[in-house]
Amino acid sequence: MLAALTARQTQVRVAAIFGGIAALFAATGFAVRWEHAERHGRAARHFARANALDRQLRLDDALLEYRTAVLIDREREEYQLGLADALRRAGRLAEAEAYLRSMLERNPAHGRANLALARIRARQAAAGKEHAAAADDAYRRAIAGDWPPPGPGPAPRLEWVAFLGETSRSSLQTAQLLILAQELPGPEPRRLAAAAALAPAASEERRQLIDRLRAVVQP
Amino acid sequence: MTPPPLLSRLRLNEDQRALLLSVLIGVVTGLLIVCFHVAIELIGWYSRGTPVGAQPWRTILSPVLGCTAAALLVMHVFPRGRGSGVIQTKAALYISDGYVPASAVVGKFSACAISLGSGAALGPEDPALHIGSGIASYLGRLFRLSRSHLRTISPVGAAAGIGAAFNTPITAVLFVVEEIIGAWNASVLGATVLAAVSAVVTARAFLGDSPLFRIPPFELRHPAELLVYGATGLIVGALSAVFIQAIRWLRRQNEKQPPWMAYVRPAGAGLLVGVIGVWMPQIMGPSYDAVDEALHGYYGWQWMLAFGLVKLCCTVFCFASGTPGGMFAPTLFIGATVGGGLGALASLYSPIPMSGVGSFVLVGIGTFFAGVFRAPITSIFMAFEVSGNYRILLPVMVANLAAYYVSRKLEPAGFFDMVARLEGMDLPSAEQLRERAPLRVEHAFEPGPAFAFPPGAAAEAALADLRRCGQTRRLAMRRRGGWSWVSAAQLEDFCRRGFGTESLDDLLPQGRLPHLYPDMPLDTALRLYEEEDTLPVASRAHSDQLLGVLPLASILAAYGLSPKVTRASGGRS
Repeated sequence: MLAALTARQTQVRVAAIFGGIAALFAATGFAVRWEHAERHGRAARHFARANALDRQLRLDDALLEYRTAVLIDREREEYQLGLADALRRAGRLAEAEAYLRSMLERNPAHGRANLALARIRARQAAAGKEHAAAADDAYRRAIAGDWPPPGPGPAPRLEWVAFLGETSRSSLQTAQLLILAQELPGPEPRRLAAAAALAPAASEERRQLIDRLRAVVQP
Repeated sequence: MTPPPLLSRLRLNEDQRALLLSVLIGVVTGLLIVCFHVAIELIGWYSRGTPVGAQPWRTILSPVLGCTAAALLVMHVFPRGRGSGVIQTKAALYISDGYVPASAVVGKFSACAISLGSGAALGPEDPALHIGSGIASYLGRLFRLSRSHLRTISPVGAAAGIGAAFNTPITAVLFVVEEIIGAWNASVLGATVLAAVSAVVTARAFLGDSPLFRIPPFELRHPAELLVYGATGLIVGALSAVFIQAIRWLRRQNEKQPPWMAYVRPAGAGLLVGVIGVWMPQIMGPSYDAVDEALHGYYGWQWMLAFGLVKLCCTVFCFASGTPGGMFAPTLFIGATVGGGLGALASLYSPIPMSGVGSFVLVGIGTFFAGVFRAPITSIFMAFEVSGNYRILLPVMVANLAAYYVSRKLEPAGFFDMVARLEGMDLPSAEQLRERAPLRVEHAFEPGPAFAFPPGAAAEAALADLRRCGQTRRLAMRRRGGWSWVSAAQLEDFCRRGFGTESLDDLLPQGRLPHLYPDMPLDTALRLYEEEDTLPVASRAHSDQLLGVLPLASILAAYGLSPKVTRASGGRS
């Protein structure tokens, strides 16, 4: 009788322990969900505020909001790209590059991060030729990199073409225009790309054709 | 104990049940640490607001109220939740047979969530360790473990707590072995590993498996860079000694103040952190995000050095004021920022090509830790586990060991020893245990040309040899290895019975003496003395080579005990 009672008590105790653990699992799941919702919500609010401030050309205020969004939710690449882009426009190139580098360390083929890095390098190109070469590399990686569907379209290559024109590297620019003439969708953009490729190198005519091409492709 | 039916059907012995229980401890601790982490985050968001650009009044008021509330909680509601988790776990191991009250878990959880969430410049790992050891002790009592198992179960939970909080199971196990247990005990080690791994797996299931820090690629561009790492270690080591001394000095000053000051000090520390936090929000709370940013070169060397020094001051004031919280995260932050700052400064003026700032921050993470906690192995493996890069080991070893030795030279007591003594406890220090080298056979045996009769020696010849040398006995080597004592009386007996021409090996009984090796600890050797008072010492390389003999009296003399003293105390002489 006593043994049966002890066994019963032990069974109740074991059931209580495992019941308690199950309840703890449920409570932890609830708490983590709450925390994630709070984290994502807060970060999204700061990011939206940053975008709004950015549109109002209040770059310093926007930067603070972008950084807050990144600190709250550092897993969202969109926030890091937004912050890096804002830092680049504010002229804080080293800081912008640091954010992009941490993204590229995880995925060196990250298309958007490589394009953002290329823009930084392009801005630094006035300081030295090595930056122009680094910008070319970053543009190449951006064009061939990973992009979320439906992909980047012709925008990165067009941007590179414009940069090559700014840095007076006509032969590479011609080659890229010929690739664009094959890749672009629709007859008008293709015609414009081909015409720009055939126009004299470093001429005003080529520059105007490229501007028209960009206006057609990215209205 | 009456084991639960399922376990009794499995016919597990208590060791095996303790191992199974360690998995359960890991899971429960992992769940609680996830809740602890969430609580800190939520309290931080609701009290301080945004990490940067928050309203200044919130940044100031939040730590003032948080530190005060947390200190009041541990002073009046949960007094068992006070103090360092490491020291409480050691006290459970060495003093209270593994007993950690459940109220300590509740108190530590609530008080530290409030203080850390509100911005106190302390860390969550030490409280997590205390929570883990409390859970282990509670489950051990619930499952009615024996006293010996209950005593060692609290360090098992401690490893689970620190592993889940830091997301590093290897570091957790090493820290517990190096700092709390102080010895490599196989049975405890198995349970510790199981608990740490199950806690980390549980925590990752809820929080994801992304590491604590996003680690940049590590590079060592020139061997001479190691000099810079070494110099960084020396400076950080000196800083860690100053850190320990500052805490001791402040705690002693606190003891001279009237009791009501215990309520004012946490508020004062909170005010200091809050005011500085208006300009440097990076120093508030555990500061993991700031270390992550430093790793990726977001800060210049001036900012990093300023962060490190300011955090050091804030942490000293918070800890000395009695605000609940741990020291791990601040030490990582201070090491990372000071290391990164010094590395970046050196690279400005260095004639050799230098690694990126991230490499110095990464190496710096463990240097202050090594200097403060005097756990060099843990600090080295922590940097390795956090980075996942073997190449980091060499600079980490150089920097951490430099920090360790400089800190020890300038301040003999490690952080936990110092705090334990201030709290009136004299717990065994892992560092002292490591350095108290055991006495070995080589320290006591009588070396030299110890003669032994060869196995084929005849009894008559042996007796003549003994008489010529004036000896009463000598070792005789056996054909199949080993030695036996043979006395003149035995040899006379053999000769009298007509066996004078027989070989000693045929005449002597089969039993052999246990033999010793020079590297054997004396306390191990002592257990081999049963009938004989002198044992042979052999070479490990050639087991038939006799190096000397070790009389029992020489062992006692090596321990500083004269035979007279031991006889008086009833020992063997």
